[in-house]
Amino acid sequence: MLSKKATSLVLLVTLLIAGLSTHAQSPQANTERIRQLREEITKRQTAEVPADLVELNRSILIERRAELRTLLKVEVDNLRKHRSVLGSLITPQESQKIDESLQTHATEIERLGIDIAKALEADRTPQAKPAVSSPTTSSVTTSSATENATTAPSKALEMTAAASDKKVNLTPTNSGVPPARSDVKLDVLPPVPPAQTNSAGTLDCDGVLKGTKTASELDKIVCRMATDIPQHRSLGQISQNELILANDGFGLMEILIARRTTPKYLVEAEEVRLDKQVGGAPANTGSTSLVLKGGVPAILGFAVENGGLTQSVNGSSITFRGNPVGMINAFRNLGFVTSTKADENDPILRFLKKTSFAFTFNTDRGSQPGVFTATKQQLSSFSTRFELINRRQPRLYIKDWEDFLNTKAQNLANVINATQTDLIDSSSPGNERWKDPKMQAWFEETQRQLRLTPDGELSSVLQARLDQMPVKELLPATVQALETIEQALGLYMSGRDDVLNKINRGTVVTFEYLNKREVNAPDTSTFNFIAEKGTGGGKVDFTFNGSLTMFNNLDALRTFVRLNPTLPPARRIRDFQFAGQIDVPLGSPTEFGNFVLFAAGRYERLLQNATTELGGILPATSGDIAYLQAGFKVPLKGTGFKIPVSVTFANRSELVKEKHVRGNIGFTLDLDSFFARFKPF
Amino acid sequence: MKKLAAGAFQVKDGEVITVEVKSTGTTTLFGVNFSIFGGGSPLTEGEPLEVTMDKSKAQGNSTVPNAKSTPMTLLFSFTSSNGGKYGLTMTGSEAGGDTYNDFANQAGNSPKAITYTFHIV
Repeated sequence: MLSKKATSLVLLVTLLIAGLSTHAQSPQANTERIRQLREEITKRQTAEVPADLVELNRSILIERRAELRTLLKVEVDNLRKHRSVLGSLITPQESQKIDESLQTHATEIERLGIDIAKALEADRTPQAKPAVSSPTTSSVTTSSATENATTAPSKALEMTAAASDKKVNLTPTNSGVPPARSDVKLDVLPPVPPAQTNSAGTLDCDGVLKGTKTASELDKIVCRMATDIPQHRSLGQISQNELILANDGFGLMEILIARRTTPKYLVEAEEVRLDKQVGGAPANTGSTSLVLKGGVPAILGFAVENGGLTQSVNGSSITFRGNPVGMINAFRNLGFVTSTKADENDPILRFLKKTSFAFTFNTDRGSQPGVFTATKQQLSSFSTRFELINRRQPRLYIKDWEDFLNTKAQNLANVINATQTDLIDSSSPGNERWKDPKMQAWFEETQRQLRLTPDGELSSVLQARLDQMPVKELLPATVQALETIEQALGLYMSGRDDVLNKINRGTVVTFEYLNKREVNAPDTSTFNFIAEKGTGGGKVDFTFNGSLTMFNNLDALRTFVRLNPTLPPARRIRDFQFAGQIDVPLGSPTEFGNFVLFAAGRYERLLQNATTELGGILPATSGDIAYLQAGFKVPLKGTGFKIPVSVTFANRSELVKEKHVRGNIGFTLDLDSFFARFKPF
Repeated sequence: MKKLAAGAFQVKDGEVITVEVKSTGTTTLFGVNFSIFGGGSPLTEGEPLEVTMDKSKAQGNSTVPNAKSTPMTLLFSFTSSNGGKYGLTMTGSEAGGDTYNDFANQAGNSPKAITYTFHIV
């Protein structure tokens, strides 16, 4: 039985081979096949089909239309490539012929899509002959599965990538699909909304804009442009897919700047920062894959999917974290809670916003080790947190934000406004033009191609056009205007960073109660104070913990002591601890990212003799325990590799009274950063 | 105010253009600046922006008969990491004019700028 990752890889290779074989056909073979398919479709549509062959005929029609649609899309690609290759050598007649062909193909592709959808709907209606086990039904199902398989590999890869970001989606495995059949054609269904498409070699704009994919500012600007176009159309601002200079002009200027001078803030891929956002988020470690069963796990998965909970995995432990207000909002968004928007000033709401809860399941426990059943047996701990102080709320920094708006933001707005007339001729409404002739030629061609592009492919067309930007052929006046904007934009970005860094370094003090449920050892309750603050001009981060741990129930310990009279009587308080850590980011050498130097220390006073996992008590183990750790993390910028190195000294452990010194070195690899490094603009 | 094309408007000299902006996406500190006629300032959340069109200050040419053109830039900033969005509505003080709706979506850390062109007659 293949693992999920292996299955995804097989699907991906199968689709790649199918796609390559489709693209590998010569243009003449394509044209001939298109002719044959049109002829067959016409005959099948107009023929008087015997009653017992109607459904089979419909199924074959779906397949033929899907194949024709795919081949027409190949033709569209070939026409665009031909135009791109010829560039300025193309004659007006050729260009017109290409436009006409593209328009014809686009119309036919759309019509085929509608026909396919209608045919599928006809198959699903009660009037359709029942054919639960007929080849027709199975082929339709498989076709749908193939369409899903087109997206399933990317979803699987997304889950794998998400795992490297230390979060795993709990989508049940039955949302996966059977392996693709080699005889099933691609592209059966009508176009899906842009958010669901992710053709190989293009940006996953949905992931990029949501911040779940590593991407540079440049990628985000391109994705925003592509996703804005359909929205402009829906507002009635434009009647076909095209850029609007008023709205997209500045984005194009940023792209020109990025491609000319590659300023860091535009071209560096920003790693997904799941562990640190304004307002804070829990840190996660490790990842694994688990078999999911129904019942409570499905509800938890449902809550995770709909934003009510977040989930993290560490070895065989899964932790769910949530906030009462977040849960309510998640269910409200789904329509389960119908109420007007909660009053933000409601005191109960404000209190609930400061609380959070978490519960951890250990999948090694229970009657089915390795299977996540979310039973009480597997519940290894639950905790609740309350924010006593949170100085990381943006609203506390309004003055700093307003200062930024009044200075650097206003400067950028003024510069953009002033240079607008240097770059763009807006004298003729509806016919705004770049003053730079090379830019205008590029812009006209881009508009022409966008007008022929369906919504789902806008980002790929835009990306392709950006490769043709005349970056090195601009007029001196254009360059000068861009440099002025670049300077103002650089000041803006650094000013914004300063404000956000200040917010992220604010003091946070949290109280946490943790209840740890052991299998054999006694359960414990820990009361923990956590304080975190940025210092040193916002560069140094300091964290302090103070905690007290108590046994919930002393019966087991008292029984053990009765059987071992030499041991002192069991007492309620187990230990108290103090810990502190300091993180210092160091400057970045050219080839490396930011080093982070860290040092941590912990003091624990074990008031009781240590207890083992089996519930036993080890004599003469109470006392003081001290840990010191120092190290640094070396990220290799843009490669995705990080190398943590540390040395730990301890005078003893809880169970063994011996000094030890341990060195640790390792590496982690974030595949998103790795691929972002080698991705062209 | 009369919409001539996407982002281009015909207005009368002295007409007051009102722009209302609201944050409609992920929670962000409100950050919108405007610039026209060589000056500008940040907008205050909840308060509409009112700009009086002054033909004597417009310096651009226009193919609209007897008009001069001038750009107005709106710069939208976000403190959120993603999902930020502003919606805006623009109207003119002249009766019977058009209402123009637009939006500004966040793309990472960089701001969104929209520059409208007003042809002042």
